[in-house]
Amino acid sequence: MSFGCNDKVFIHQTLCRVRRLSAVLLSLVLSPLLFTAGCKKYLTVPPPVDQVVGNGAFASDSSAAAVLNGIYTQLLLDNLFQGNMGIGYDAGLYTDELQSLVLPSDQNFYADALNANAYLQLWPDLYQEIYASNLAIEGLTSSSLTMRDQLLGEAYFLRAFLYFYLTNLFGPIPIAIQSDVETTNRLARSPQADVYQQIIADLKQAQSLLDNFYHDQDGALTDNRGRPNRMAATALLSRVYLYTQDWANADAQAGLVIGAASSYELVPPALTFLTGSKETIWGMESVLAGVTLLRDAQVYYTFPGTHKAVCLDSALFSVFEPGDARWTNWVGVSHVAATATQPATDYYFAYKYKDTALSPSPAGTISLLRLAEVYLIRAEARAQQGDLAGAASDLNGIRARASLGGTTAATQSELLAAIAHERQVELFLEEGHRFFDLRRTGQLDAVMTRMAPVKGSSWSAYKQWWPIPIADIQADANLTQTPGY
Amino acid sequence: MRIAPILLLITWLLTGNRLLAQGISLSEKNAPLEEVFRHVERQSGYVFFFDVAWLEKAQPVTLELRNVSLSTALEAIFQHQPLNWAVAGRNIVVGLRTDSTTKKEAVLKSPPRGMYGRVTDSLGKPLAGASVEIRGSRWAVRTDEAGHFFLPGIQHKVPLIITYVGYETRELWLSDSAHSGEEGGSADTLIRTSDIVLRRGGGPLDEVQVVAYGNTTPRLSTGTISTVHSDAIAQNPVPDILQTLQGRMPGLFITQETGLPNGAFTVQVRSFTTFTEQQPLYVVDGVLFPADGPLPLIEGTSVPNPLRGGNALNYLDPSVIASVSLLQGADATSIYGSRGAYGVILITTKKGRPGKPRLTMDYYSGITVAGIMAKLMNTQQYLDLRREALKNDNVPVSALDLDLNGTWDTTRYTDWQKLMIGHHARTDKINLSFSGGSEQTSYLAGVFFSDQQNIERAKGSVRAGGLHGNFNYITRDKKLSLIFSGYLSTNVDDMVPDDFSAAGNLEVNPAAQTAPNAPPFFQPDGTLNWSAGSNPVSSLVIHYKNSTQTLIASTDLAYKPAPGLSLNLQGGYTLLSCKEQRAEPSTYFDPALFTPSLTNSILNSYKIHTYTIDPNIRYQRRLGRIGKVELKAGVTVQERVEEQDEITGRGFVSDALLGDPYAGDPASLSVSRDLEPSRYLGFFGVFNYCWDDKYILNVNARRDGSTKFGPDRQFGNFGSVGVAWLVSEEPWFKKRLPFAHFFKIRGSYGSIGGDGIPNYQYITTYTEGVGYQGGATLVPNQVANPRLQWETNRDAEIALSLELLNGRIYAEGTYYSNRTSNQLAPQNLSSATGNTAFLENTPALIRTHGFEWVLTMQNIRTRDFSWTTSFNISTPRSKLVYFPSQAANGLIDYSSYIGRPITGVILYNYAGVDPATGRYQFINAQGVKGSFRPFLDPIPLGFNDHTQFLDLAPKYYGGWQNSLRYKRFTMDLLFTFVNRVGLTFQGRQVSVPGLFDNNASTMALGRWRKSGDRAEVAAASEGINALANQLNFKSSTGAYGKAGYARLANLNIGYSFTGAVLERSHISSMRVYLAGQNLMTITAFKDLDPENLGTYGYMGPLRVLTGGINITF
Repeated sequence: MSFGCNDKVFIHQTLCRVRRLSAVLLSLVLSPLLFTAGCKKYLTVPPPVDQVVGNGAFASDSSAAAVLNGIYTQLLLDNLFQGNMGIGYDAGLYTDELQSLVLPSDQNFYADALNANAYLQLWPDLYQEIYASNLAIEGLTSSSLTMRDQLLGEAYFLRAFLYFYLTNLFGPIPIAIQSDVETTNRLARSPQADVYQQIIADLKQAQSLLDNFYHDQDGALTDNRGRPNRMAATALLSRVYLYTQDWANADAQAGLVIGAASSYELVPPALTFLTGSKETIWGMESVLAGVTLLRDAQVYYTFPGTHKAVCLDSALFSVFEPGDARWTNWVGVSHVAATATQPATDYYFAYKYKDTALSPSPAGTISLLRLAEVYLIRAEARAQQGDLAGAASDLNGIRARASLGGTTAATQSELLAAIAHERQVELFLEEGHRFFDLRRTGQLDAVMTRMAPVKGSSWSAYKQWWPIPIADIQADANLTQTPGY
Repeated sequence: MRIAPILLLITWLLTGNRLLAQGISLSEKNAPLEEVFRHVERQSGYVFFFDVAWLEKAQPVTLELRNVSLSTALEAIFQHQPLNWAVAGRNIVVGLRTDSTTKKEAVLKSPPRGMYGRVTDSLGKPLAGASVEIRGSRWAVRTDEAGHFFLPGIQHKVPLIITYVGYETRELWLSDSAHSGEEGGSADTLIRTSDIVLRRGGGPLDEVQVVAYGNTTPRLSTGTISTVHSDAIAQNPVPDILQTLQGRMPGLFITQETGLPNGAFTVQVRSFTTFTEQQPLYVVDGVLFPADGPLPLIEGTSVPNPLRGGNALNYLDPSVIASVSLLQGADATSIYGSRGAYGVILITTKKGRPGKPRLTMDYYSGITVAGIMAKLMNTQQYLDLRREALKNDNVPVSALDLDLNGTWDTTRYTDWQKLMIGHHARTDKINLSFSGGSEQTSYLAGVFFSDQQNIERAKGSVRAGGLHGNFNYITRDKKLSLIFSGYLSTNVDDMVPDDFSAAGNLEVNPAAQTAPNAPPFFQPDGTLNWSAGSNPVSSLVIHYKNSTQTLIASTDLAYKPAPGLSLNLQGGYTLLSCKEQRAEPSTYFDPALFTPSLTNSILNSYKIHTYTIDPNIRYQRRLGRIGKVELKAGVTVQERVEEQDEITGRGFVSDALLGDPYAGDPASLSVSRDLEPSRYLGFFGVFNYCWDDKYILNVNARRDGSTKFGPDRQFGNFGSVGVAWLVSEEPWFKKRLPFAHFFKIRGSYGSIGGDGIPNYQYITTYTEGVGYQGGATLVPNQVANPRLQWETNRDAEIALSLELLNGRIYAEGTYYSNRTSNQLAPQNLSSATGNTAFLENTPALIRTHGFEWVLTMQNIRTRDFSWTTSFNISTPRSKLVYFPSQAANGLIDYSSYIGRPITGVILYNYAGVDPATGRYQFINAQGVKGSFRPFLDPIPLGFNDHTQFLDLAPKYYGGWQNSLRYKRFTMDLLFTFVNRVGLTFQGRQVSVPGLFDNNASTMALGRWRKSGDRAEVAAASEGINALANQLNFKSSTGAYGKAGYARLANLNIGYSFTGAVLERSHISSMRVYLAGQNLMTITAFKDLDPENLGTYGYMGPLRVLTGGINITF
């Protein structure tokens, strides 16, 4: 390589050359940029093979139904309504239904000693399914599927159902009715009245979208009551009106369900919780092949002569009237022989569901809404409105089914007390009815103050609402801890 | 082209006269010319060059000169000779006078006959001032600035010795490097050698470093690049390249997560810049290699997979690797763009070299043994501990206390650790390679085989074998060149997938911590003993086999249509293909509880393929007389696809069927499939300007696209600027500090993107769940964030490098500062969102910074003995500077605090063992001291009582390497060191010492025994007491201890043979060596290896001791 003598000329020429060349180089290299479409195409990777992307889940009836199925399944897998971490079990420990025998993992519930660091899985699990319902409502609203109305109705129903439990466990709560997490992560607690308003609105939507029949996931008519229908929405609506002390509406909605006599009737206690029971308004079935629903017998008792960590508290089993068919049918007893340290003892356990071992075809479904409760709702609503005869008639229907004589309550307050007692023995250990009833009727503090010394705990009024996980308060600056915790 | 050096020579000759103002005095009488030359040489320091044959024609010299200039003296000497002369550098070149013209004209018309050549480094850069000497003579010339040298009058074979500071000395016969026939036309006047290439030697400054799309040297680079060459790699008798790099590169912190072969490694380049752990980019011969994360291996069900996902580099044999370069900082990595945001590790495989065919064989054989093991109690100590525990808890010996109630023989003692992992296992490795070729075509072919047996009491080994090859071709006009390299290997691992070392973690079965008087694990016939109701080593019977094939193929095609212009196409393909089977046979289960439905067999197949295509254009030319400009522009297209199929069968009627998961109960068969493609597209341009090898400017600009982000967010623009100033090239520097050969200041600043997140985070997805009403279900799987985009790393660094005393001392210091913002981090979400975390670009800002120092010294350098030391140390620091919410403290993982490193944990404040009760004590947020046991004490500790913060990242780490040579003996030692804190053995236990069937460390001999004792370990206890007391301790500062260590990581002692026997056997070299790995560790850390302090506490790195031989034919 040789160099010219005149550097200036040389440099100039070189610069020119470099400039020319870099222009060529740049245009060569950057030319793909001009074909950005090509780049975009290259950077569009196929969707995941084992997942459905976004609204693709609502592209067909079967996939949209599968999204709803997913919510039902998760409700069961998360043990919200079964197992030994479910709402019924936890609330039973928390109040006066269950007695803790050894230190169980949810000792905090029995000791009424919940704190923000404790394991509080119910809160996130319920919201997780609300999120799934929100996604379903958003996806289905804009769709034109054949099954749109049924599935959308189910989604509204589910959201209302889940909010009902949230607000009854945690009081004022954030109302998340959309799937965008950046919005829902900034929510503050809404007053309970607003929550109920949202629930009522959702249930009305469900009522208008669903029909009175039971459908399966393909939309075909079925006897299987595993998916909610309009009556399920109506029954839940009557419960919500009762909780909001809207007696007239509670009465009316309950009447709609009771009026559908061809579909629903009270059945003998031995049959109430079996598959095919006409008392069931909505009852979920086992989701895993070969795995039965985990309730009652399996949670509280396995085989004769043994007991598990918890049993029925005497505060519950002592209130059954003699001759109550529910005592014989729904309560089990295990005689545990004397040991060196303990005399022979009888342990009572809930026996509404009788499967004691894993069974491929469990005998029952998990009854989440049943006719007896609707009768008791109407009885209470009627009593509150002064229709004492009507109330007594509804109450006596339930008592008669339990082989008991008619109520002796005569005044409104007597009648209301009788209804409360009937709810205690009829709905025991079912999804926190006892806990919620005590609170909404103003009995909670009195009962718990009485129970606390027995349980070795202490009670304060703030404990009527449960605390929420501290991580949530850290993640959402607008969210506050339940007062008192 | 060949006219250029002649012109240069002439230019030189013309300017040479000014050097002749020397005082020369001669008094000769009929002296032979040669003798006169010697006198002149002695007085002037100049050296004569001539052909001895000519002296016969010379006349004797008679003259008398007093203090004349050299040129006058030469005029006088040559006045009557048939020779003429010229001065070149400090050489006086003598030629035959062909006519009667003056010397100058003579040279111009007919330059002296002789040999000329050019000396370059391996990058083709001319080496100015190299000494070229004819062996056995006193004659030497130095190369000029273009690397040219001229030996006048040499027209026959001569042995040359070429030396240059910092480079290997080369001895060659002129004919060796073939005087090219091309030059035949001028054979009567000149013999031209090919370029003589000197390879880097003792000095690290001019080591060739592979960088993106080319090579560089530390002398001229503007970025931070460290390189380890095959000679250092070959010293380590270990199967994974990452192990050989430990301690050798500043800024690179490598942890071997488990001592089991084929296990996982974590690699940290500089400091943590992101909330999620990010691994560097691995590139093998220009192709993406998927070593940046765990492999999709079977996760054990009852026993977690101790390989922890392994690492793809386990499948790349270190013997095929020529060099590994680590690129750090914006300037060095920016050409890799976002892919290199967390560091780049470039691996180059060995290539064929021109020369006569060479066959090299290397074989070593040796043993591996377990590294650091816990010192556990013997039976007597254990039983004392247990009795004391019962006494402290005030409970009687019960039916459950098998170790004390007579069920187990209280005099029995088994060292379970020794039994299960205390074995010597053989390790063997052989590799052969054959290479050679001509200037145009060269080739290399090699094979290797290794066999590493299991140190655990079990069958199994890791065997690997493979071959690799390389073919290089360059056309005669050097315009077109092609490199092709291929690698193919198989790795078969059938070791027991369990780790029996004393891990003391609930998640790992601590077989070693079984009570020392427990019944034997095995029955006399060798089968498992189930008399205790369980058997902690039952995993021995698990069937396991993993067979992985690895293919790497790459090409590099270059076309140079015009001087300085090069069109290149690099590209390649890698494939990892694995079949892995793990089966739990009937014998794995307690016979009392066994039903066939428990048996299971998992067949996992995965394939990971990547391809990389890199077309680019480079243009290089001089700009001005002393400037040089280089432009590069190109595109990178890259794909990585991971595909996995897993079949799980359960309920086998016979263990013989376990090989086929479909042979189990059809009703419980389950399958899963995963396919994850990711693609990357990048455009880049580089402008590099180098002025006078003194000032260098390097500008990178790029545009990256990634499939990790949603539409419209895929592309980001990034760039960097790097500058270097070679201060030592300045005349004033040379004058004032002549002992400093080299002094460079460089700095860079740039921004790089980061996309280190899983695929598909920008879309909401549903996965199939458990069915309902007999129908399928879809469950929301992940919450989408379509707004995700590139995170930004702003990287600045400044570095000084200095070489003193002819390369005897080399020092380099680098300071870097990185600010990572727009962080792609999982944001914790409130449950009300229905999700727990959400990937988001948070404006969180993490700043990392640190110093890296390298010091290399040639302490002693004599003919027989040399000693070289190289020391490096890195001090990484990180700090969370900003987080966009007042609730930030403890957010992401409850350990991230503004103003603190993100590598820390928050802990309870440990206050020692209470002398009164023997329980661990803590100080809560209110300053109250107590044991605060959950369930047992009235007040428990809450979240806010985590008042202490402990950073777990290393404070500093580094390596100290020594190479000694005495005659034919060599010894290389590598020490590594780290300073940090870690979770101690006791901190990992589920309970305080004293639990049934849970042996404790002998540390517990110093436990609290009676009131008033000031002890380190709590009182012995069992049951709920022991658990509750330990629970807070595990989350307190008491569970952490100083885990710093210094380790003799590698020792290699060798002896090279020479002699006639070797030559007769056509052996050109033979070396025998002893090589050891992880030989000695100095640490205050007890019972665990301080290297792998991850959550699981797996087996520490193995000790390896081998002997080997290396022969080249």
